[in-house]
Amino acid sequence: MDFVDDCPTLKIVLGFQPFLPLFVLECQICPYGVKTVVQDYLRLSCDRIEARNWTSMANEKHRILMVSDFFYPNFGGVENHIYYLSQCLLKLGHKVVVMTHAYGNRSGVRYMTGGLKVYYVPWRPFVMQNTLPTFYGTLPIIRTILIREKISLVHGHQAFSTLCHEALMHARTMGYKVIFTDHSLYGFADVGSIHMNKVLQFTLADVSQAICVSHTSKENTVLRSGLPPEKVFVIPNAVDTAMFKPAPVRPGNNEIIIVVISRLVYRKGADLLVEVIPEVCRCYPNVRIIFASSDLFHGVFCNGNGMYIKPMCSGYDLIVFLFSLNILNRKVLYVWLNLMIWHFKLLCTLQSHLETHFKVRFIVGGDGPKRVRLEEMREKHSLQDRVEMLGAVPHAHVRSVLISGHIFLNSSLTEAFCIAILEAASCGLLTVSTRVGGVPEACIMRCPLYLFNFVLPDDMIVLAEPDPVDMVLAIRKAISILPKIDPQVMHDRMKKLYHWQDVAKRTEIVYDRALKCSNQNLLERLSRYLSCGAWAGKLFCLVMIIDYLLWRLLELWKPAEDIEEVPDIILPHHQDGEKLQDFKEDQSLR
Amino acid sequence: MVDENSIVNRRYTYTHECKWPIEAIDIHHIFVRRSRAKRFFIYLSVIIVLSKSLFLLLSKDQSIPVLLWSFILSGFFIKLLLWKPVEKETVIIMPALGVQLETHYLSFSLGPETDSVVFLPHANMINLALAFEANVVETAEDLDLFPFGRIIRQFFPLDKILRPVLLECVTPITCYWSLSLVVRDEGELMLVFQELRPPVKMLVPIWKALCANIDDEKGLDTDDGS
Repeated sequence: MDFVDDCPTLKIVLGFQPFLPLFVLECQICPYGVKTVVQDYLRLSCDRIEARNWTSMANEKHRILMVSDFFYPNFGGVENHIYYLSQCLLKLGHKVVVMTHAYGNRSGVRYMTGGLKVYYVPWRPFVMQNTLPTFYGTLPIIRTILIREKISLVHGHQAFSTLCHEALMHARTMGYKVIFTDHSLYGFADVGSIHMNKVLQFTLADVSQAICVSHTSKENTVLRSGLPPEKVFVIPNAVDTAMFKPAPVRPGNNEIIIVVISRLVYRKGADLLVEVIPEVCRCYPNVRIIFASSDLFHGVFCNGNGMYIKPMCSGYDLIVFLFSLNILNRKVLYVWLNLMIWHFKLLCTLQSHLETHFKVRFIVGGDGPKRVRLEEMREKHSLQDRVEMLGAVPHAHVRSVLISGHIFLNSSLTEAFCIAILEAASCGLLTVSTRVGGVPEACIMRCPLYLFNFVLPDDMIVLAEPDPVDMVLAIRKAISILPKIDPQVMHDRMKKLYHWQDVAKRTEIVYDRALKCSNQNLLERLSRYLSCGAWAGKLFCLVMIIDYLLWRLLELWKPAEDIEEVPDIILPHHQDGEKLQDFKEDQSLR
Repeated sequence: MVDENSIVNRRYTYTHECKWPIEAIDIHHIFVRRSRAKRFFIYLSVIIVLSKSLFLLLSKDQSIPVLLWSFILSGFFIKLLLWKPVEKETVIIMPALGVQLETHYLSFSLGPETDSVVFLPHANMINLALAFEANVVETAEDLDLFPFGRIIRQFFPLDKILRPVLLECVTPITCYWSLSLVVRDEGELMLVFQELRPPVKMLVPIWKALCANIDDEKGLDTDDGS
């Protein structure tokens, strides 16, 4: 099997324990066995209890270097994660510096919001935004940045980032503690994945701690890299709910708008969309709703096609009349009320129990190689008026696209976490998603004590298998429960469930744990690389030995004393009426 | 009257003086220090490589191009690692007038835009090197020991300078601080030190002096205009 999320699911019920109430644990059987997953849950719970005590004791502030090939001005899950996490860590009092490669003319040192310092190192990307892997070429610049910024630990992001791998390797050579965050799921079978997994195995052989964005991602990372599971923390992503707010006025109910925003590539299930969209449009053609009653008082429900009302003397007359209109073969549902219905509210309430049919429209945002297929599907089924293609949507405009719809559709074939779902839920959209990877975990709610996990009911997300038939059924179910959705209530719930401050605090705990790891010399570390494989292990050892020698040579050529430290610049604060303070500089500049 | 402050590190020496007879003129020098140990090590390495090539040529009858390549590579490494044509760079701040930037090259060097080169006799070159190593140079007058080096000068009137700025520059292999001038009608920043990369602790007093001078000038302009 290619992905861990194909593993069968097992439900385990744990008994009552003194500190943990009874709860149901749903987990997966994987090659490591159920025991490991259960142990992780218990360990995580114990870690959280321990962390609450730890947090109160840990006042130490860290100086963190975030390294990745993926950062602003690019927009994406990894980029946003690094940015928001860095901002929250800055607010917690830590010093954060980001290192990435140059983007066009954006080269050198830049300062972002909150004093976030970014080094855009002039190493040009060569494929898929990745820096050319040189093994030792980045050693001088990384060493210089680590010394001049007085970094205490290095945090690398994303397994696909060559800069991240090289930075972690050099940082370990120089004796720094390193942390790695994996944001994606990868396979095991194809040539690219095999090589990528070997590189990951090399990097993670000597990492201090690792972070994954979901338990599924953790299993995937552990299997690919051979890292001990107890070294891996699970810290889910969050969403900026201040940016993703529902629309002040919800779109009208006369037609249902389903929004799709993703890269139109194979991994994101663009081929599924080609099958699903025509089927959904066929299920929901242009129809009218008829309410009929012997009473002249009728609900004023209208759809865009108008309402046909005719007072009847009896139900039989009604049926005869409706047949005469030849409406039945147009799949119109007739509601026949013989009883006196006096209250308008009752009519509207009953409406929610009726199988009503609406016009459904799709808005597809995003670009990619599969866009052509979607365009062809639109032409073939004559859905030009029902499927709108927006093309690439800048991240700043994502919210405006989301709030124009009622339902968000995610058809990914694999997702470690899927921040897009959180963004859609924050905007008040009901989500329909494929049940892959870490998506089910995206809906796990944590209680305020951060001790227990409960799965949400289906009022926020409808899951389906990555199959067109199942997805169409899920969409129909979503449409049926749409009237129950209150976007503002959903947004408020998301505010409490997901926030980056929580992610930062949990990451802080990981940093504390990493810094408490023991220091090891080169020989002790080489033994870890030897276990990576018969030939690969020896090759990795050779690479690390050469790296160590080059580092020593650099120490002779350009001693650390010659690299001057950068003074910390404190930016003025301006928050809700506080006075602007004078710009302060470090005393070394006076 | 000479008022001096100096900062010394492994590679550079910074000195500050107020030029006689007008003490208001502010002069800041950055001198390049020569490392004896480094030069000895590099010359030793070159000698070893050359003697090895010669030995191979004589004993194993290797072709002459191998020896020639050894000479070329050795010369290249000496040029790269030791041949620093710049002797010092100077910033002269003249109140109410402007700022002059000077780059002084060593006498045996071929600096840019050179129209004539004077080579000193061998004995004078040794004296020159010894005097330099002994850090005898402290003021501009002492540079009479090096009378024949090329000097490149660049003058900026005060009204053309908007602001001096300290910047962090990033290259593919290192980071360093630089002092630049934001000049009116110029699309790019003007580097104060074109050849050298002195540390920030040497740049800060120069930057402060430039800022003070420009602020004084702007303050006078405001008073005149009011």
